[in-house]
Amino acid sequence: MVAVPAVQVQLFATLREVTGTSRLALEASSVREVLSLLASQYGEELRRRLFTPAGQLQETVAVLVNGRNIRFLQGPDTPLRAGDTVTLIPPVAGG
Amino acid sequence: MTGWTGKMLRVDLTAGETSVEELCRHDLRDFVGARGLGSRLLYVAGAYAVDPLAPENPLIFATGPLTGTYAPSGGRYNVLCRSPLTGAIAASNSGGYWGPELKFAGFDLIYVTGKAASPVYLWVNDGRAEIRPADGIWGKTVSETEDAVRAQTHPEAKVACIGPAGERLVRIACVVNDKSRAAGRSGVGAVMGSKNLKAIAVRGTRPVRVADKEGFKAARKRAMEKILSHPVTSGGLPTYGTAVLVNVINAHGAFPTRNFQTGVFAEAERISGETLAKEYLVRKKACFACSMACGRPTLIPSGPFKGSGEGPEYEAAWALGADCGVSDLAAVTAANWQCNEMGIDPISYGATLACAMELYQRGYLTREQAGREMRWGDGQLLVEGVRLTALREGIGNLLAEGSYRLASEFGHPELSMTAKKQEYPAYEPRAVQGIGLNYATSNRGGCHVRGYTISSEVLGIPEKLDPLVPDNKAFWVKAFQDATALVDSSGVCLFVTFAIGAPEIADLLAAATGEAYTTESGLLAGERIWNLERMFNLKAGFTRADDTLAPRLLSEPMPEGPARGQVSRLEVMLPEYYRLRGWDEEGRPTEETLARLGLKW
Ligand code: SF4
Repeated sequence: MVAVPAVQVQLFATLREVTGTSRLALEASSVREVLSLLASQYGEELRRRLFTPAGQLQETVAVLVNGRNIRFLQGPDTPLRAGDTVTLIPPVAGG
Repeated sequence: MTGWTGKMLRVDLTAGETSVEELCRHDLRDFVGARGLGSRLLYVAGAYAVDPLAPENPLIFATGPLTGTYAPSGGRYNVLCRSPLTGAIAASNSGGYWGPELKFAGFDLIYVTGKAASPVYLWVNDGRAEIRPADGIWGKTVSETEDAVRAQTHPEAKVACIGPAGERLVRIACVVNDKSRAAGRSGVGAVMGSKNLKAIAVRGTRPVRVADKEGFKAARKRAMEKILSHPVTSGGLPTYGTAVLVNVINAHGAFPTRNFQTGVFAEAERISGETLAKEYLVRKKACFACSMACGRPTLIPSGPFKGSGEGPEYEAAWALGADCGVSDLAAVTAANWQCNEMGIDPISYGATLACAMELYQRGYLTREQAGREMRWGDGQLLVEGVRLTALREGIGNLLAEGSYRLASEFGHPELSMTAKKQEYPAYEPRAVQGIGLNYATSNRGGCHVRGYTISSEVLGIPEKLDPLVPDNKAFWVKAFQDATALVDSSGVCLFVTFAIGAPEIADLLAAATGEAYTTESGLLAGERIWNLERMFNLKAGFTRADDTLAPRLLSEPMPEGPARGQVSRLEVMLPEYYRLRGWDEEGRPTEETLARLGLKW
């Protein structure tokens, strides 16, 4: 059996408040898995922030794998390797 | 007139005279106001040929037609002149309450020339103006000045002033209003200081009239609905302020660190918006008519940097933090307060100190020359340096000149992270390609708010673009630059554009002024303003060779992080940008372009 990769998850801004943490370790082999693990671990409030009612990733939430937005990788199907960092960014801005 | 007041206050400080003049309606319509109108007046005056610190350099405080109207976040004004930092056109934008008050006092703008024989301040009270001696006020910090001027004028007067930095002609000095809102960039404070003008107090009681009351109300409602429902303008920005970007930009490997030696700051978390909110944030604070309230009053309860003030914003947190390798948020916060008090642009100050630190790191600036050690991460130096710079004492006298002159003094101009001698803000061009093109082509030199492509390239608003590729960035840079010129000239805050765009701004402008602004004509006005600024700079002697970036960004691959191995692809983007702008290969607007924009005078 292939071991599921251990990855780091980084959370910013409101996502920290919802989960009460800024960083956690998970075992997941794709971004999709990370997102569903988080949603089941932290409940409805987080699920609502990450997904549309139809279960799609919210347009306004940015997900990075090692600093690259998954839109320019393979979207939620982006595979993960041990040691990868997944970053979740809620809608924020500045200047 | 409606929207505009149609009047400008002319102040000749040499003669000690003021007069009121009518503004030309065609100019108002074509250049909108604030940044656009001020640029038009500077161009007509031939300011591109004057010494920036000479009495002839006009110093313009200009509002837009939406300033003071209850348009969303309609509280902005611009300070314009020829910049003593860059030699290019300067237009620095500020919020707060001063701009609206100038409109209430009956003026769209104040046009200052000359130099007073001894320090003065200007008191503008409901249509009348008076030049008064500033003897007891010269030398004071920003908050002391504001309090003193208010005590001598009216308890409700709004005050824009310079601190000790502007008095000493520090090339990175700003004009500060309402104690903590600044027309920050390009050294406009030094020009005010060169005129012996310490402050302008304004008070007005006449509301700004709009042409079509019902239409304006409806346009405002449509815009507000978007602002109050967009997750960024209703949630992200009000909740965390701009400093929330520290972690976000760092995660993208685009957070310039130690004078752009890398794009990742390992200690970013310690200076982040989240940490600021937890440690020092007191409350939120808004400018005139703004629902977003991105201002951040802060307090440090104990320790060596104990005190209170405002900020840091994202840009300041970066410049004073990561760029100088400082991870002590208390030091960063205190340095930001000092910048407000002394009247110094924290972006250029932090970036200039960072340049000095790199010169020191490489042995080009010695301990003897600096008079002290200049080590990365030294929070004490960071805070003390602000005062030294403002007073031009010791190493501060070199920092006061900005990083380009500093680095040149020690034989290494390539270590100045500037475009047109103005320090870059907080985004790495190797990690975000479009923003590099924007820095290189920005009419006021290194600047993010001329064409904030970060909105698309990082934040995904209005459309997500891949930050690492140069493709199509010329198109987006031009689009952002033209739209921003319109927004800046209208008098609303750029931050509304996370939720609304040219259509909403055009509707507001049309209802306020009675002129037939449309999305197209509004964006055309933005493009006209951009090209006028460009013409100013060409006449000031700038050429294609100045549309560039520091050699490091063009040839040294990013050493780590998500953008590892990348350089800026400016050479690919720039020719395309010139083409899209209708400029020739040397970056000059062609005859057809000038004719299309109504700029053939
Ligand atoms: S968004 Fe911030 S800077 Fe803009 S008007 Fe509102 S409070 Fe002022």
